[in-house]
Amino acid sequence: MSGNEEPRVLGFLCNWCAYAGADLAGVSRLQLPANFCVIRTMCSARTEPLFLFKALLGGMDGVLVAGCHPGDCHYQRGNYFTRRRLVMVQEILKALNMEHERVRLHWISASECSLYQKVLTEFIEDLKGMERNVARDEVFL
Amino acid sequence: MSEAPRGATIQSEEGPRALVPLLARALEKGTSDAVLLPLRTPGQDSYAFVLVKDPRLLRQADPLPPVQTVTGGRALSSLTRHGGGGVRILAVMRPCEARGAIELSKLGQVDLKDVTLITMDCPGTVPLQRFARGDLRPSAVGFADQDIRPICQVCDLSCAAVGDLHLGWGEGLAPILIPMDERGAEALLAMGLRAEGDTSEWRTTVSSRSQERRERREERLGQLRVASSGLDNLMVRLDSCINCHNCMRACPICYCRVCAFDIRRQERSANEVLDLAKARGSMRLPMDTLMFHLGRMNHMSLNCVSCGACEDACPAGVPIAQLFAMVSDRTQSAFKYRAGMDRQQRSPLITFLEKELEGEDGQRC
Repeated sequence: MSGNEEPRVLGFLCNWCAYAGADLAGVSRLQLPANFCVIRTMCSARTEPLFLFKALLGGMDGVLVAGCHPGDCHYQRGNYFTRRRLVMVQEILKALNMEHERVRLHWISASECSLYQKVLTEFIEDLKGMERNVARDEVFL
Repeated sequence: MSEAPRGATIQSEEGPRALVPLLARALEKGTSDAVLLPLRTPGQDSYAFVLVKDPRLLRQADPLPPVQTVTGGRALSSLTRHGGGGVRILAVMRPCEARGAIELSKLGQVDLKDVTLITMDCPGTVPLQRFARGDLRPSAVGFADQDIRPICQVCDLSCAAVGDLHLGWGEGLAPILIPMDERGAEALLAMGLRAEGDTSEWRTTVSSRSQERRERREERLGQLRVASSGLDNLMVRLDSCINCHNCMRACPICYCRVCAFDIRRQERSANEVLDLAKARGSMRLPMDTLMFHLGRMNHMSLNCVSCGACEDACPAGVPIAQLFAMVSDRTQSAFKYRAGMDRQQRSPLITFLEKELEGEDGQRC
C-alpha cells in the first residue's frame, strides 16, 4: 500500500470460537491491529458469500472469516459448509482474477488468543504488501 | 452401465423428427400419460414446450427446434414442482435442458419420479434475438453450423446422454435410440423397439466431437478469461448491463421465487447511498450492477449447465453465459462436479466430507 495508509480489514467471527478467542486476546492485553472491524456471527456458516463480495466491492482491503476447528462446530457441522463456500468464493475470485488473497478463512478456537493475534497481524502485513483495493475508486460498480 | 449400451436403429431420414411417431406409439399404447416436448407455436414463428396427451397434436412437434425459447427444465419444473402427481411423462429435450432438469430435481424443484427424460445429440441453437428478428431461420440445423450461439460453439456436452433414453443422430449417422437405464429400456419397449443395434459408431463420433469441443472451450474461455481479467476488465465486459435481471429470470437454475437482489429490504436506503456518494465522490446509479452478477455466480455457478438462456435473454448483448461458463467450469471442477451429469452426486454446497479440500493449491483454510 502506498504511503502510510493502513489496510482496512473486516472479520466475520464465529460467536463460539473465534469471537471468544478475540475476546480473550483483549482480556490478555495482546497487542492487536486497530484497523480491523469485527462482525460477530452465531456460526461461521452464517457468513453468506455475498457478504464477502459486498465488503470487497465496498472497498475493504481484506475479509477474514474465522470459525471453530473442523469437528468442533457448536452446531455440529456448520464450519464444514463454510469451508466449501469459501473454496467456491476463492475459485470465483481466481476465475475472474480478482485478488483472491483478500479473502481468508481460519480456524481459531476460544482459547487460541495468540493464534488470533498472529493470524490478524500476518493478514494485515500481507495486505500492506498489496495495492489498495481498486474497488474503492471504481465508479461503474 | 458397465457394458457398452446397445441401441435401436430407426429407419428414417428425418433425424430427431424420427422420434415423433415413436412417441405417438407410446402414447397410444398407454404406457405414458403425456409427452412434454417443443411444438411450433400457431404463428409458426416460435417454439414452446407443450404437454401433449393427444397423439394427433404431435404432428406439429419439433423435438429439436433451431432456437431455445423456454428451457425444458423450466417447463418441467412448472409442472412437477409440487410433485409429479403420478402422471407418467415422456419429456423430450436437449442435453443441456435435461441437465438443468436434473439439477432442479436436486434442488427440489422438479420431480423426476415419473418422468422419462429423452435427450438427443444437439447441434446447437441460433441466437434468440436473430431468430426473433427473422434474419436467421434455419429450417434444418446442421452439425457444422457457424450461426449457432457462441456458448453452443463451446459446448462439450452437446451429445451427453444424460436422459433415460438418448437419440444419437449427429454427423450423418442413422438415428439410433439408446436406453441408458431401466426406465429408458421400458420406454423403448413401449415404442415397439428393441435395443439390439451396435452403438460403437455413435460413441466414437461423440467422443471425438466432444474432445474437439472441449479443446475449443478451453481456448475460447481462456481468451475470455484474459479479456475480463481483474475488476476493471470485468467491468468492461459488463458495462452495457441495464439491470433488467432478465438473465436471472430466464435461467433454469435460478428458481427462487424472490431473488435476493429483488428484496426491498436488501436495497440500500437513500441515506446509505448518499453517505457512500459523499465518501466515494462519483459512482454509477443505481448501484450494485457487478454485485448482482457476482451474487448469481455465488448462488448458481455450481449448478450452471451452460444452457445459454441468460445470454439469449440479455437485451444489451453482455456475453453473460460465457462469463458464467468460465467461472462455473472452475468452481465445479474444484468439487469434481459437473452440473446435471450424475443424478446421484449431491450438489456441492449441501454436502461435505470431514477431510477434504486441504492445500490443493496453496493455503485454503
